[in-house]
Amino acid sequence: MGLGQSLLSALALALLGTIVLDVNWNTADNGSVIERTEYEIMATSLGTSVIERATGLAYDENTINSDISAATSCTPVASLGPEIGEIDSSYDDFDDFNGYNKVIVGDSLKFKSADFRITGTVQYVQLSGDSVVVSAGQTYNKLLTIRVWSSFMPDTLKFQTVYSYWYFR
Amino acid sequence: MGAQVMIDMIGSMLVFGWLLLMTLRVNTANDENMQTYRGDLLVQENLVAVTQLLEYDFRKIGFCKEPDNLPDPTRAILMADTSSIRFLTDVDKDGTGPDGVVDSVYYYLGPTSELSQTPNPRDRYLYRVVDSEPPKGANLGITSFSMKYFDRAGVPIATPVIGAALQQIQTIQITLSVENVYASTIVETTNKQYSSAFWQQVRLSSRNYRNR
Repeated sequence: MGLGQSLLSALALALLGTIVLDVNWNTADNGSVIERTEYEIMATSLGTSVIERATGLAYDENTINSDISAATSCTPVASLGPEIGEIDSSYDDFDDFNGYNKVIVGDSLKFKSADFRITGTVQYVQLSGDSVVVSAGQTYNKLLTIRVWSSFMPDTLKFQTVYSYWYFR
Repeated sequence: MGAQVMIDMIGSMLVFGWLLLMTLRVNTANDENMQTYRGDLLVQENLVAVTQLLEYDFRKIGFCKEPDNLPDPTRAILMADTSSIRFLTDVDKDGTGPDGVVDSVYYYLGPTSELSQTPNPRDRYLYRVVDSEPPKGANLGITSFSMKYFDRAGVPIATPVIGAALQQIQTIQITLSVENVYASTIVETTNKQYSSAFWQQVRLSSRNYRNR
């Protein structure tokens, strides 16, 4: 085999090798996207679940059994969070989710997914023009921010909802 | 033809054959992977379609455009079991919005025998029945659909939930599993692998269900 032929063979091998590597890279990339989407679906359902649960509770500790006539009657900003002795299963008002921190552990039988960490913060908010801004004092609106992430996800998913004080019938 | 030329030709053929085999193998593997990914995508799309429907309906448990027609939303759940539930709501039947008439919605899981013609032995219909209409179900590859019910304190309620216990339901945990109806990979003749996706809406509560 002459030098020219040897060079052509080497080039052909290099070209084919590059193509094979590209194909492998694309395949791995596609697989990664599909798996990531699956984790994100799960993370979304977990985040939504916390929000659903929170919005099913009373607006404030002081509105569970009675009405309030002024926003200042609500829990002070510094005291937002679960009351003494309250745990996850005994949360009874919306702002108990301030400082929320929970790890959801996956298993192969009951929860076929990865491990997730969920955190939550609650702030009083008010309208300023067309924007919702954080308030330094009590208002009739609270903003819940839930963050869900997993070591299998490149980004943290953030969910937010505003819950207002209202009286139903 | 000299011996050197013969050696060159045999060498070239060997290299060519090797490259050809490599290319074919890469092509085959790529096709299989793409098929698997398409299956995964389909499964995820099906899962999202089902969950959107469930979330929409379950959020409206106890809702009625005319509140006087459903004065006590705490009585909106009529029957609750691990894989079936019947509740009252106001369904948008014609796309113009709720009509103010109370409807009953019944979800239940069909048997696997109904879909015995599909390769996946575990898939089944999830039926949705509005009032007395014929049951509607689509084969989206649902393999499991289960619900757990909790009271206000977060304590699980034993199923089937009957009588006064129905009014204690505060939150519902829905678990759903969807698989591809066709196997993505056949490891052995009897061991088929199906793409699957899992979803668990932990404690979905309905705003309309409780008088506040």
